[in-house]
Amino acid sequence: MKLIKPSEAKKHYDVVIVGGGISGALVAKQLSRAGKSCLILEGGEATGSDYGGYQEFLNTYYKETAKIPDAPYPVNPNAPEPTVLDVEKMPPTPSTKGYFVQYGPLPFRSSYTTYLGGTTLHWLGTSLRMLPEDFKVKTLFGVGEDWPISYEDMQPWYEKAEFELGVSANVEEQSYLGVQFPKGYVYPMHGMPRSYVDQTLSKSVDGMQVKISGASVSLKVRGTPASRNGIPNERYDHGKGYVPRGAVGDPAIGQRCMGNSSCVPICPVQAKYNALKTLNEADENHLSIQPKSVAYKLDIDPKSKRVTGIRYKHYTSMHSPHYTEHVAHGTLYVLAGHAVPNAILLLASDAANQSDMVGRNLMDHPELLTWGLMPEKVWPMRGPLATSGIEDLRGGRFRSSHAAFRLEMGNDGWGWPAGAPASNLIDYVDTQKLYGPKLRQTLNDEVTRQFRFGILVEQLPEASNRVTIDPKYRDAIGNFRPVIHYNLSDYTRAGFYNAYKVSQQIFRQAGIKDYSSYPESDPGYFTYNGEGLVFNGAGHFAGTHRMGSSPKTSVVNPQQRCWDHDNLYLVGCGNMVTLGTSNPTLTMAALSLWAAQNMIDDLERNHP
Amino acid sequence: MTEKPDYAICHAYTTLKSQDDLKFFVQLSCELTGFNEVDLYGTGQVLTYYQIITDYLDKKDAKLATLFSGLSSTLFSSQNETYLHKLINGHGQPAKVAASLIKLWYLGQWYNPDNANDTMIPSSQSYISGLVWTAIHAHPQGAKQQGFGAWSFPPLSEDQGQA
Repeated sequence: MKLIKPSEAKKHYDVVIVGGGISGALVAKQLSRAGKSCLILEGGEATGSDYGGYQEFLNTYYKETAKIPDAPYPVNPNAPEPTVLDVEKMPPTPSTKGYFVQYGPLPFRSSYTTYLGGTTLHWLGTSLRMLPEDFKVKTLFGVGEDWPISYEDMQPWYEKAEFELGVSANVEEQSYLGVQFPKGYVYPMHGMPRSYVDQTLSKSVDGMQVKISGASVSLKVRGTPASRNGIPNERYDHGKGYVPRGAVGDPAIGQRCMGNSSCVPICPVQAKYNALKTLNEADENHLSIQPKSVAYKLDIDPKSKRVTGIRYKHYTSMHSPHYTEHVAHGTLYVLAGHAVPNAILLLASDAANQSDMVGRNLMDHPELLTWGLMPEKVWPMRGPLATSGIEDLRGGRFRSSHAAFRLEMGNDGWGWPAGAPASNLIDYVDTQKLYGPKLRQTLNDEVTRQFRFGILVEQLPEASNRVTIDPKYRDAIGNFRPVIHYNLSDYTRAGFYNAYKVSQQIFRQAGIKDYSSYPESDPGYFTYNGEGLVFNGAGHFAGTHRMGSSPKTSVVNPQQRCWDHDNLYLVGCGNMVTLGTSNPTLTMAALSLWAAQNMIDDLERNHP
Repeated sequence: MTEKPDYAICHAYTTLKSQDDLKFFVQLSCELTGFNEVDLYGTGQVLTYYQIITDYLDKKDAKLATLFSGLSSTLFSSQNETYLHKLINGHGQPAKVAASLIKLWYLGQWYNPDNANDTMIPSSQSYISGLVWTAIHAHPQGAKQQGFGAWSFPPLSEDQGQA
């Protein structure tokens, strides 16, 4: 990939893209390969653009005592990122401890990463499609909003996204709740081998019935589609097969997932997809990437409403707030800076907002963790962090009364909820005064039986959950910090509560001793039906510049182009109308590829 | 501000007090962790950890061999078991030092015995060498991968027993 400084930039590009994460990378790859000149303005550093730089991330991770999702990627004050350690119990209101200014009443708990490659550097890799019913929840269940497009419209773009990300899954297993694939379609690679944890749970759960809103639903442990390299499917692409893409700078590495059990925060071998791979596959004759360049304002012609330039601040070091100001010019402009930064940039530019929807409808998957001890050893903390899930409650008529959810099975024991195995060791040593062979044996007897669910609960779009700006709150180089208002509706809370009840039933069925606890002191503590629960962030920021069929109620049209500015495209999860229960990256990638095609069509229409 | 030593670069050969002192350190470490000399030397961390504990004790004018003077030279004997049990369940300096030493071996992370919030991972290798992962037949997250598909199987063969 070609990295440049502002002095090396051309005066005009076909496309100027803000953000070098997955959506920007997918757009840049498609456009550069179509011969269109592209510039990516990346706010963060490009540390991972070569193999050695990526290894630096890994070393930082090893030495970091708090192994949070952002651990390998130190906070850059000039292109700040929120971290999970910033989140505090509210009040205080506002909470200004981290990058986000949080007005609550509940804190937004998720984080993202501002380095080249974006949050795919620490995503889990889950690549589920949305359900057909997810696109029309208003019509079917009377809640949320319908999408202006359908599953059938998305289908071919899902296929392309599954190629670009390199998804491993088995079609037979993924055809449920109305999800259909064209006859003969297979994923690029076979489904990942199931963990021993999955297999053990499967024995007691498959076929079990749970009651949800009066209906009986049969459960099944199902392999999760993942953007990580497995065994290529020889039947892919009508028998042409698929070649896995390895690490950037050393493609012999990462041809297969090696089970490093650290997908979040970093895949050491890059067997898991990250956007650096896509950037690396772009045509470098037509794509320049300019790191350390933070876009802060769009110039807009008052008459034509077309964007005429993007203003950005270029800094030379993340350790100094010194910067220079520049403007990038293009025919088309694309904001691919993530759901929060995109909204900030639009609000700071007073752009694209006749609907007043910019920054609104902020969504995540509030995530319920439940954890316990299995009756037998299941040997966790080996393999991809999740290989299976229970998907049967992602859809159904109950969605008219409460949120749907999916249960992801963790392969990391109590790592997420309790900090295992370090927390166990410290407890055994400091509290139980264990040492020597007894200590070693106790670790082996207990940690090896740890199990957890991460249950992703649907959150619907609500105008009051939003990102705004306030001139009072700025970062190190004077750009707006995100000001966030966030709450969980009764619909979400009811889904959460039902998810908790289902988890308890599964635990009983599988003989899992429940150790879940939800202290009132936790920042994510809330109550429903008198039950105190805790939500976590899933990192699935979405909805802040949604698409729709009317400029009165949405920011972009179905083509992903702004209603208000005909040379400005938005990409990323911000365009999503609803989130359903699928981890959103695959859907966002499909939409980005669709957007890229529309950009190519626009450019060719103007200059055939 | 005092300069912190970089434990990734091990100076222990130059600060090593005596071979006997090192031998005592390794034996004590075996007793406290439940791993043997080959396991401990196999981590590559013996000299680094020896240096960390020596640096700490030097500031207190203390010596490991004095703090744990009741230890006999027979590994994992019931005599040592009785002695250490009493020591570790006490509230004195040896109990705190022992706890930090156990955590250092198991997690590759040093916790100051006087202040648990003062903690550091001496090097990438020390994190990777944490014994906790060996104890549970897993591997440090992000390193020492078990390989594609290994996660589908229990990590032991029948004749290896459970620990």
